[in-house]
Amino acid sequence: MSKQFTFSHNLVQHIAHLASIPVDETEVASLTQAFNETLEIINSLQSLDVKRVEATHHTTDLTNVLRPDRVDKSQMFSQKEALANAQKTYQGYFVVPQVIKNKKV
Amino acid sequence: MKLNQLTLTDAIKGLKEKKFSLSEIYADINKVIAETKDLNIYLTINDKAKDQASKQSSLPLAGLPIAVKDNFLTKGLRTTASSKVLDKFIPPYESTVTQKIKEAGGVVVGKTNLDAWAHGSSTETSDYGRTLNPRNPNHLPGGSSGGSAAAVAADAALAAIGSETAGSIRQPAAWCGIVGLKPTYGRVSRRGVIAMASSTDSPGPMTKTVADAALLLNHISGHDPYDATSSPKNVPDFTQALNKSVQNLKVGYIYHDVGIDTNIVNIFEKQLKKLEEVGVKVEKAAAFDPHHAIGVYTIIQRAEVSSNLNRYDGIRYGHDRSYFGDEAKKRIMLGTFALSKGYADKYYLLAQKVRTLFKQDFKKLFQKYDLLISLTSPGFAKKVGASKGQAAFGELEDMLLEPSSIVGLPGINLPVYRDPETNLYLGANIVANYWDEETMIKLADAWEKELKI
Amino acid sequence: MKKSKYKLICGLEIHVELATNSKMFCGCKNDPFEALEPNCYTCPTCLGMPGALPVPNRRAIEWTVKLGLVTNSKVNLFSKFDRKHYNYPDLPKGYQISQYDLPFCYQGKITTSEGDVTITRIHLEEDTGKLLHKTINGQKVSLVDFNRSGVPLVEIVSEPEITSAKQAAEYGRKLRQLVRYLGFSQANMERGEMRLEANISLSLNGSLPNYKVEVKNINSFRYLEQAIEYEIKRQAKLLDQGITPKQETRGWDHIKGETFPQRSKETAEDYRYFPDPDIPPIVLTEDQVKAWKKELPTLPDIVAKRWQERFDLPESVINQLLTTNDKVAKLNRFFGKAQKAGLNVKKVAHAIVNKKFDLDYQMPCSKIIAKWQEEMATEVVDNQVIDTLVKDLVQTHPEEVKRYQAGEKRLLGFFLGQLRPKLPPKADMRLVKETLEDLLQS
Repeated sequence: MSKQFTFSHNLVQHIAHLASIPVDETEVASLTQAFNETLEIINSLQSLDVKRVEATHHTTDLTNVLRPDRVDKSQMFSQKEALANAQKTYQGYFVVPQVIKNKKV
Repeated sequence: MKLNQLTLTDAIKGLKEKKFSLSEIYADINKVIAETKDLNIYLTINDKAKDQASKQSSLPLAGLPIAVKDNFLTKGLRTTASSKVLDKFIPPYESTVTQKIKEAGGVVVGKTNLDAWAHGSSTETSDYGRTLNPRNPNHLPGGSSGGSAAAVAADAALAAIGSETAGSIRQPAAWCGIVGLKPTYGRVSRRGVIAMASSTDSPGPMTKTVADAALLLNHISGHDPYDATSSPKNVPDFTQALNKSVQNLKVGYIYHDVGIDTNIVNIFEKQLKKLEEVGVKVEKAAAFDPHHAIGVYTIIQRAEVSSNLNRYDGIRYGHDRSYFGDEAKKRIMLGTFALSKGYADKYYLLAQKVRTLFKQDFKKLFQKYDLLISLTSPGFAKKVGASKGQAAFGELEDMLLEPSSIVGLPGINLPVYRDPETNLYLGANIVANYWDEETMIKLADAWEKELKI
Repeated sequence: MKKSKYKLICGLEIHVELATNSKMFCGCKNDPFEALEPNCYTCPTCLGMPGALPVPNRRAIEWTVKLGLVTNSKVNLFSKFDRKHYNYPDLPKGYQISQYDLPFCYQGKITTSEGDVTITRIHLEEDTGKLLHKTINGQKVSLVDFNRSGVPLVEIVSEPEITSAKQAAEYGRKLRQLVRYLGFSQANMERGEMRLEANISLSLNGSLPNYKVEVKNINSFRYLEQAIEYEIKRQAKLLDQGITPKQETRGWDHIKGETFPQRSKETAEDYRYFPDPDIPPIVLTEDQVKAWKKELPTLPDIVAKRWQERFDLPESVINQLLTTNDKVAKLNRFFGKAQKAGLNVKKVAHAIVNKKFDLDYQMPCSKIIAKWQEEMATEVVDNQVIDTLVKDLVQTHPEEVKRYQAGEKRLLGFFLGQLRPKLPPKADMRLVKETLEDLLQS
């Protein structure tokens, strides 16, 4: 039988990086343990036979819910409203410390 | 009787008949809000409530005070989702549900506490401290809509609004001994509700009586062009389902054999018998093992949460991601894992497939039964501190509710028993078929009148 | 030019901003370039506010499918939107709503003079906000504007079948012409309405190499050709030394004429795609697709052929006239009627392109014909008249005539200038010139 999957320190660090969650070493350790506990709960699903089953991504039977191509002023913010909750703004812009120019696309 | 102890329905009636005034109601409400501060029910009080009320008095909800869970955006009124990330967030727009309440004449009297980001079943994981159960403050109110449940149980509002992803309305309603109604997914708009698991989140009323729940449901339901998952189906008048005969309704009693404490089961089955006395046919039924729902829900919820919480970067609003509490961090990370390369098929996709198995099982059950019934919670409200150190506390507590939630079925919690020593309650979970809230309201109403607890 | 022993394996990824009225998932105005200030075309949805939900723009979907139809693509009758996750300040939700495994269109093609290029897929997604880098009070910051956030973006991905830089540019130009012709986008590259990315590698025997270099920041077709040529040289040099070029993303520096490394692509991104639970799937019917196909105008290639054959218009003139399909349809009608009325359509077309004749597309064809005849129709001057005038000329400017006949041919211009005021205003000067030349010969 193949070795049961468990969370490793490295994997947890990688996940934290993917999720942009800042964690320190002690947190990684306790998280690794917590995740492995949760894993026990999730692993029970592996025993079920889902070979002939489609995934349910939506619980409604709706399709083609679209909107006409019209400008809807009722929902648009003024610049002031858009910026109202930001910690830092500058001449109508949101401000962040400089990011590397190389976009992650 | 103090005016804050009125039901919504009776308050509307009494105002119409001029038995008392709105200011008198608000005076009593404000008094009890102050008296119950230690229960930590409200995070934010709307100090304009009384003024707004006077302008709404001629509308259906007559300017009456409604408590709203703090994951519903209320324009101009601080909304935090009980997280320090949104500590100072003042929403620039209104959620559809609270907009509808306002248009119907209701007033948001305050924003209630919840498990941070609605992650939990205890309201102990709020970044602003736990809420206590008004029935017995050594115990928890349940969650995540614990604050809303407590508001109603403490008569610190005439009714409340909560949201359920998998138990978050019904379970705290059960623990606080009030009515909690989770509508069919898509019945009520999610716009303006801070998203948790987008494919199951359902706003719903939490009230003192079934009649109040039906009334509020009327006002908050309906298609919303700003929510692509909201149903275009016509909204019936749910109050028409009240005071109706339940003769010959066929009910399947499920989850009777999943290892719940026999004392609890015995109490519950005794109350079930009362239903048979009014002509309902109750029969034990086999259902797909709800333990599997725990795994499904755990994965789907965390996956969708990790996605929905990716927007909190502190740039446009709120604080940065270092402000997330421990539980939120755990869920975001586990969800990220469940969606990541090499694991998504094994976990996320598998969970979505098992969800289908539940859907198929319910379809079969509803071919035979009009309604399904089970306990809401495997026991009474747990003691304060019970949720600490348990990796999946919520999921285990909500096991009986998760199956219906993950497939989008409607359900209602009705208090069916009160322990005279602890003053704690047991609740029944009544589940109806899609869009058939009327039948579950009919039964709940009849049973409520039979039990008179 | 020495033929390289390496074959170019090149694929293009092109993004086109659709010129819909509103954004992709909300009703905000879609006009980021013309916005008078930052963050003035936003709403809860495109700002990624808590609780905000997306509702797809019907027209954007229609245009995406139509773009597929004009490129011979297959259409997925069942389609959906998926979430593509990554964190960046210009991405408000921390994910982009895009399409993963069921794009609206797939397996199309664009025909070039060097062969067909297969279009792998055409999908629809939303654009991000814009970042500006600035130093304020000595601190390096990035400023974010979300006016562009949520604008509908079509992504067209080609198979790596492009075998020359010229072919790449031709492919890009054809695509641009198509979207402009259909009125879906101005595809102005300086405004970022069309964005080019090239995946470039070299192969000895034509089989797919085990690396590819992605080149970005190319905002013209000329630069595209240059960048590809540069990469071919750079990669060939490495391969000659037995080195496999690094799999990476490079930018194009048009001043230096070089590509430069931007970011390593060693660890592929993990976008954690999953179907967006907020958006029910899109189900199209055969009938709907057929109906859309019927609405398509005659394609530019076909119109070009027709204009060449019937009116003898040169390619350069045709390319300038093939703008949007409604204008082209109008021109087609006008040219046909003009030809019947005896006008020299070739002349008219030249005059339009050279801005000598202002064509009002809203004017009825008969009126335009009348306008042409009034403004532009030239009079043929009687040879007798010219004869007399030339005789005068010889009389009054004997020196100049002698010098012309001796070889100073450029004096012809001077003579024409002398004649001009004596001729009727609509005189066909070309004919006059010819006659003058003939007369001065003798």
